[in-house]
Amino acid sequence: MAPRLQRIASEAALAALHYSQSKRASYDDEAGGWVIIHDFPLPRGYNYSTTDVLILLPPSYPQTPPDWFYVDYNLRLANGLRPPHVFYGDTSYDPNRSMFRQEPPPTLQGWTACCLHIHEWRPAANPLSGHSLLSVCELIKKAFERWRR
Amino acid sequence: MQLHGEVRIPRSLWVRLGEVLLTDRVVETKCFMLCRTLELPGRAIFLVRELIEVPPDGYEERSSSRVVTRREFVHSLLMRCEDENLSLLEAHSHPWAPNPRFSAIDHYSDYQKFLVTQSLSPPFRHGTLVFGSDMGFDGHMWDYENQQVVPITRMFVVGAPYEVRYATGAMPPELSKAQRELYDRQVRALGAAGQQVLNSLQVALVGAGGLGSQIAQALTLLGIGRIWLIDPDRLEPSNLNRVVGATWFRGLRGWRKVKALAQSFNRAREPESPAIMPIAQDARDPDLLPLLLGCDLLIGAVDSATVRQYLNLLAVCALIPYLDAGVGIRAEAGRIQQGGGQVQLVLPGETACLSCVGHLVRQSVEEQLTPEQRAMSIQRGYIQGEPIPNPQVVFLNGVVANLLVWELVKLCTGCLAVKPYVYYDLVEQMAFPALAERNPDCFLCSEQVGSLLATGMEGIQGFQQRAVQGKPPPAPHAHPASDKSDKSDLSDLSDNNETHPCQ
Repeated sequence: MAPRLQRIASEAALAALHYSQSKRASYDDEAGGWVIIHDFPLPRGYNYSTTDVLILLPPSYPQTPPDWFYVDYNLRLANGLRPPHVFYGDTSYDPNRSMFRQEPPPTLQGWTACCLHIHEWRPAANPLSGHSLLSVCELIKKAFERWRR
Repeated sequence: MQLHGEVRIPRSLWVRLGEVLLTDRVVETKCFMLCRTLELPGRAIFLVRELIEVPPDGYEERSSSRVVTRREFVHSLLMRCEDENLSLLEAHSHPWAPNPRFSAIDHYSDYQKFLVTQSLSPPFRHGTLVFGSDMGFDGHMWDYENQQVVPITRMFVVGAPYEVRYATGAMPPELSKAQRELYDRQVRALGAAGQQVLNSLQVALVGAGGLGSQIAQALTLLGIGRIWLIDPDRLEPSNLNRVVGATWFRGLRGWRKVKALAQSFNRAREPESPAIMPIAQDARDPDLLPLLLGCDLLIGAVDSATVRQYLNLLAVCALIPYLDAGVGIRAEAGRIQQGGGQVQLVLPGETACLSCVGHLVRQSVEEQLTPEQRAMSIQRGYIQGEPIPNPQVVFLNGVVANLLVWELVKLCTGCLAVKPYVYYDLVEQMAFPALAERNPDCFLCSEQVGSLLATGMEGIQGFQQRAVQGKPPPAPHAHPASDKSDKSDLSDLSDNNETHPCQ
């Protein structure tokens, strides 16, 4: 397995350990295009107690951090309102279209995009010593806490 | 084409190698180098990752005419090679004289060893080197495909200065009479040996725009042996204010930039030995990878952060020096407010790489957004929609291009110490060295376990433009409704449609 995929696999496993209630994550083991953290715990104030979180990885990850992340389209605040910075209606995302030369697979359904814009990024040889998917998940966790207010 | 071998070794390991081999000048000394190997057409390049000294009890025999290591010691190294996809270079000293050559005993014993260890190939390669009192060397390796011993001809010491060392008897021809006449004024500044180094260099220059064209012109005039000029773009009339070597008619006809520049600049050379070889392709095209990895030096003069990151990656994985340059001007209402440029020299394992410096993060993110992410980002005002052309002027490009070329000359001739990061301030008319600290944990270029330093093709895989489609992500699983929702938490919720950046 190429070092980039090994890196993504180990970061996904670490992220699952720290940020998945069921300790589960999956990733694209062919091209390293995405990672899903299953059962990401949500704080009080949402209609779910957990949600799956999809993180799309740029082709040069981990040189380049991810931008945006995706959650279940049906995620809402407990009062039925939409959380801020979650953009419903933008679900027709196809992660492979921009990354591959072939025709895209059928449009993905069920995900919706959320704001995540990273400006400082210093990945280290050891994922625990620098920025990694763990850092991204920590930002996501804080965003969920902030958005419920 | 007969295979030959080459070695790329970071300067820190080269210095250590000299210390190990030449400390004792009475008896022969031996050590080993664990390497990754780059397999290129007609060449196998050993990328040295680790130096293994032989402890006193690791020797079976050691005298002024013979050195033999214990089988168990070598066996343990071969096991590591097999486990970690490494290759093995053996080095021993003939410490009493310069210009070493293998002895008849060396030839015989190496041949016997190669026959045994070829069972590990591929990807394993096995080579041996002998060093003299001046660290001159002779080398050979096993060509397992053709069952023969082939020479290791060149050794690149990656550091400052960047040394290209030739095996005994493999020195390139000296400057011809015509070359001595052509470069007479330059030789007076850089020395004949320095000029010879420049004449032997093979350089990949990515970017043939305002900056790249000036670099290409200067490298051609300097006498660089071969310049692979890579850029897929065509000339446009708006380029003609700054792309040196372009002409009005070629601009109107939309010639490829690289072709236009090659035609213009190659006129400064003898017709049978053109300097510039134009390649009208994206540098990230997988077809170009062997060419880029086989070059002695990489130069990036491009706007794209992802292309610069890619060149940086190749440099670090394949132990190739990389010179990166960029310029920028901020102007308002036709008046320059700020401007400048920078030149960064990446010596893998020695100086900071682009990832250590980390200033390409946002540009790289924006270049790799999916169409949908881009649309959302524009809609929310996170990035601008239609790209607005940046201000560009020929005089800024000229200064920064020549700052880069000067660093290249210093690096390759050793005439003066290099400055790994140089900044030029256009407004203040000042060029000054800036601090670019190496990140000791850098995932690309550090010596930590897990970094990509000297990992060769294995490190590059996964970052290349993908020819195969990855898996689409599955839909999210249904999740149970929360039993801990607390509507009182939401009483002060004000606006669900904020558009400002949140991280």
